[in-house]
Amino acid sequence: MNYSDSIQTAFFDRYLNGTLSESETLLFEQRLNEDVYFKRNFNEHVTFLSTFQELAERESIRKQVAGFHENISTNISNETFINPKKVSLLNNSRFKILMAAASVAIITVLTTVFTLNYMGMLAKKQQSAYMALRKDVERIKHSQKAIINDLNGSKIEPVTPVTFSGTGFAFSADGLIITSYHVVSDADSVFIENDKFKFKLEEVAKDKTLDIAILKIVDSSFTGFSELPFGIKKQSAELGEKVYTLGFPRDEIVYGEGTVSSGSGYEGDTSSYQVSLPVNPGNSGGPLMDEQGNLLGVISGKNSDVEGAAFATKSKLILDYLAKWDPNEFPSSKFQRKNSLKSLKRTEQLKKMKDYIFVVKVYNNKI
Amino acid sequence: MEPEKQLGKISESDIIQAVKAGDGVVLQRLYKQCYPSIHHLILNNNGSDDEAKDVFQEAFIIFYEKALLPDFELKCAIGTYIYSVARRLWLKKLMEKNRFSGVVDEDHDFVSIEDQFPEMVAKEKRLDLMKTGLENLGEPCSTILKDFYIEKMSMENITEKFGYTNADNAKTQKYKCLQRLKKYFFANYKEEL
Repeated sequence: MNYSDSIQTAFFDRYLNGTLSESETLLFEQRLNEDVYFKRNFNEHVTFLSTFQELAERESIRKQVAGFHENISTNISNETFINPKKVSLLNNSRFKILMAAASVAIITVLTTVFTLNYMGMLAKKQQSAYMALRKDVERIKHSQKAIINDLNGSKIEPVTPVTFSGTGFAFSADGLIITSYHVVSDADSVFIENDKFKFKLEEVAKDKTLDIAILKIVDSSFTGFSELPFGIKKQSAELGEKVYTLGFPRDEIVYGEGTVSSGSGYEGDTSSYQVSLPVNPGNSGGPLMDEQGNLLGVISGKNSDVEGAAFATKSKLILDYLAKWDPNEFPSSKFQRKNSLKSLKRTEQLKKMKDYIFVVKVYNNKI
Repeated sequence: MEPEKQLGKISESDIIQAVKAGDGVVLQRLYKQCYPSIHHLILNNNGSDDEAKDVFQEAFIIFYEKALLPDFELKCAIGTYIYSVARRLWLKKLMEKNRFSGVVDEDHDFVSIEDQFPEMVAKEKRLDLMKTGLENLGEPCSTILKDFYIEKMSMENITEKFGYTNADNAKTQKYKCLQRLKKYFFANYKEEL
């Protein structure tokens, strides 16, 4: 069973029942605006539920209508319809019973019809086609990891409900981590985790247009990574070039491969590539790699209008951004290194890469 | 002259208003008024009293639901609409049971539901699909989903009713039931469109 999918469904139900708090509702609607994958799942859920309710509504009407047949005489004759105004109905006890029964049914039906219309309106809301691949992970008490320890010793209180997750990876051996802007944009605290490591991060810089965020490991137990194995490509990738990614659309690392479909991204955006990779919520922030093990870019979003299209911010722009942000701390030369993946076959490359790829866990105290 | 002309003492738009308001008397009268033509249709075309009643009720329900819609609009007479819906339902049933001779013995006006009321056709497909899906789902799934989404029972009450150890188990079970039904529904739903 897909755990986060069940949480997402429960989240939809709470929203539709109106049991979310005001801030949760705002976050929900904001997400509907930003995340087309989320919106699509929501619309599907709404379509399903409205049909389910239509069926229930029909069954209740059926019960009412079933009663009408009793009065059909076996000699079917054409009766004239009597003008109700000419007959005093007020003292007709059967009229009263029928009205009472009918009004109860009508109230139920009208409530359902109203809800269906409301659901219909939600489903039709105009949304942007650019989807942010951010996985919504809801914290449920029994699955809450009790305390996340800052290895300095101070305990960090676990925070409640909505958290988001994506992918991040090491950009420098001294602990710079890259992920997508939208993964961490409303974070109060950010952690990264994989099989080998678990660290707290602090934000260094982020850019909404490029959809990237650079963070730094701020954990006293962190003494640096060994030399990162992958190179960074400054030139543009070529059309049709084979690419791959590693990320966390689920709790375990997932490998995906594809090709560069276009040198520009969503609606002609020249700062990103369009790639034909199978990506899902949670892949945001993951590395886009070429066959030689060079970083081409950072996975950013998914255009769900086109099957199999995903977008990645080009690595050259990330280097330029960092160099501009702080030419002393982050000159391009800092990130030049020997590519030790170059001659390795894919499976060997992945073994080396996966230590430096993490789940990004974002906690938001506002809920 | 069509039976519905005899409703002339109350206009059709008044009937619709009365139906929307849940006027039981009008509904009953309308039911009685429209039934004969369908009764004759079905008995003259290979059907029984019971089948006539079932088909007519189905058609009447469909009309009733339509009348309740805020944007209700009908270009033909109410009786013609109900007759046309019933006629279509009956012919479908005949064809499924291989009882259709190819000729329809009737003397009533009708309109093409497929052409003029595609939303009705789509709704019927949706509802049939959901109904079959629920039947395939069986118990306890069928009741759990109805209790949660229609009766609006709380998870706690559902846990008690079905004897689950705790609410989380009940939630998991409800989710699994939901996924099974959704899977069936959406697998067939796209084909229907």
